[in-house]
Amino acid sequence: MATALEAAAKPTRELGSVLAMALDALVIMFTKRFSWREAVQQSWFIARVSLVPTLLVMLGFTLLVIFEVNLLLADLGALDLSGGIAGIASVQQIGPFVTVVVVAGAGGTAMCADLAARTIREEIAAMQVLGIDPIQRLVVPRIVAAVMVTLVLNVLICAGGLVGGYFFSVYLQGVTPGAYLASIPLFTGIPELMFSMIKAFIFGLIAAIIACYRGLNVAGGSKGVGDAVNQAVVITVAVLVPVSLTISLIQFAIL
Amino acid sequence: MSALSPKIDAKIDAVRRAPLRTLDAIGTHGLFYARVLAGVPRALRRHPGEVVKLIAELGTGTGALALVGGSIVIVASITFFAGAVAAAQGFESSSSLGVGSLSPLLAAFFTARLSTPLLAGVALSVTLGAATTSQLGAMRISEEIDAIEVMAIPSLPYLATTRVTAGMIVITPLYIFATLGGFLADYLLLVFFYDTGAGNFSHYFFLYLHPMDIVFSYVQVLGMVIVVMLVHTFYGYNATGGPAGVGEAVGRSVRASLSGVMIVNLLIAMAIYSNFNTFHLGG
Repeated sequence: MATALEAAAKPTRELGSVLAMALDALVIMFTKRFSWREAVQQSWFIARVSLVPTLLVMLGFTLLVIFEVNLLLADLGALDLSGGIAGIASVQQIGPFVTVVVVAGAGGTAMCADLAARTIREEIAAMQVLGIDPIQRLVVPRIVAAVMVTLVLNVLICAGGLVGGYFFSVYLQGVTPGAYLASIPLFTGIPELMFSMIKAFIFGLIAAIIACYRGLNVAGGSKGVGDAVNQAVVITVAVLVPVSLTISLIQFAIL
Repeated sequence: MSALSPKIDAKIDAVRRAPLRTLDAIGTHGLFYARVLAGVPRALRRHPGEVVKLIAELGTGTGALALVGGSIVIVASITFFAGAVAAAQGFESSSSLGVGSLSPLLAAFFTARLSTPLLAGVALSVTLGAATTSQLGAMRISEEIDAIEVMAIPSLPYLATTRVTAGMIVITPLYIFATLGGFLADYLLLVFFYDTGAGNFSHYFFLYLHPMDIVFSYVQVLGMVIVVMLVHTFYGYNATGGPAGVGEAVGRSVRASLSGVMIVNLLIAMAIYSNFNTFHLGG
């Protein structure tokens, strides 16, 4: 009975320690010295590894949606709404999601692998012995870096989706350029863009916290590192989709 | 040239060789993929047991992932929530035009054609793919792959080809659960949350859910899983640099396969739907 209860409590305990680490990081961010150098280096690193994959994934994702929706709109005789749909697709739903999937898949995995390798080589333990808090020195800058890069990339993806959609709709599917541009603000305005940024902020935060947590709590030698990275990215994507739904529902309720 | 410092000299050299390096990488990847695919008959003849074992492993996952029900449950839950997002966005956008009761139509269209294949691609890459890379990478750096070669078993068909084959088989049940997850989310959200009415939902949903759409999206997912398994076995099989190297290989493979999967998905969809657009409002 006790073992069954313990097995049931295990995921809860994990969740608890993730939240504890996040809370630690939040407090330390404002109370102790912030390591700027590490944050800048990490931001540069994440941006460098994420930029090209983000653009490629964005092209695949956004253009596919715009292509399919244009087929539907052509049949409805509402092809002049194509820009509006492109706005909904790239700004409200796809932009933040694609950004963070790639930031988690490219930057997050690298962060997790780095921290996990340091943990199993006992470098983290050595830091603690020297009186350096790994959360302050390593986790906080990484979280800040991931969130910053996610926000910047989100802007890029939203803009890129609209521009890509323009070329796709106008040159391949015969939408009138003026109608495309004029219908964008029909569904998407500043409040929607703000929600998109809030979404990207929350997503980036979740991805970074999960990657750092799995990296610091790795066990089982060299096989453990690969498993930890794998779990980090699976958990991130599995958590992001429900969060995305929740934020969308809140947005629809408010706006 | 000699006037420059050796460091800058090396930089210039690296930039000059970049195109050749890219060409080299393309060749390495292509050769690996060709050898993996060429090994299919051998893998099926010599290692059928291994393929069956891997099907079970990929379907249920290993370690902590098996605890929550494995890849199938994860992929289905991801497509479930993606379907819910598509249904919610479809309802909100269509009711702002005053045609909210038509939203099951949009849900059928978006879920079958867009959200399920797209999110299944992402989910496959991070579940099946990343697990494969980390497993093969751990084997490579603990020199198990060399041990297999020493025992005179060609390691490529035994390790890589069997995984690609198993991935192609396990995708069928996985895809069924993924699609059903998406449709279930449409139903729950539109009927119970947005009150479009069960009769209205089933009327419009099944009127515009073309059976061929499901077949086409299966083709998309099948194309994606081949790309995912090939890319991830490549990075796992060629992992170097100790435990940290395995983690890095997982990261690099996720990055490569996400980009590859989305481009493949777009190309397959354009090839299919430009010629066979099954959606007709007039029936």
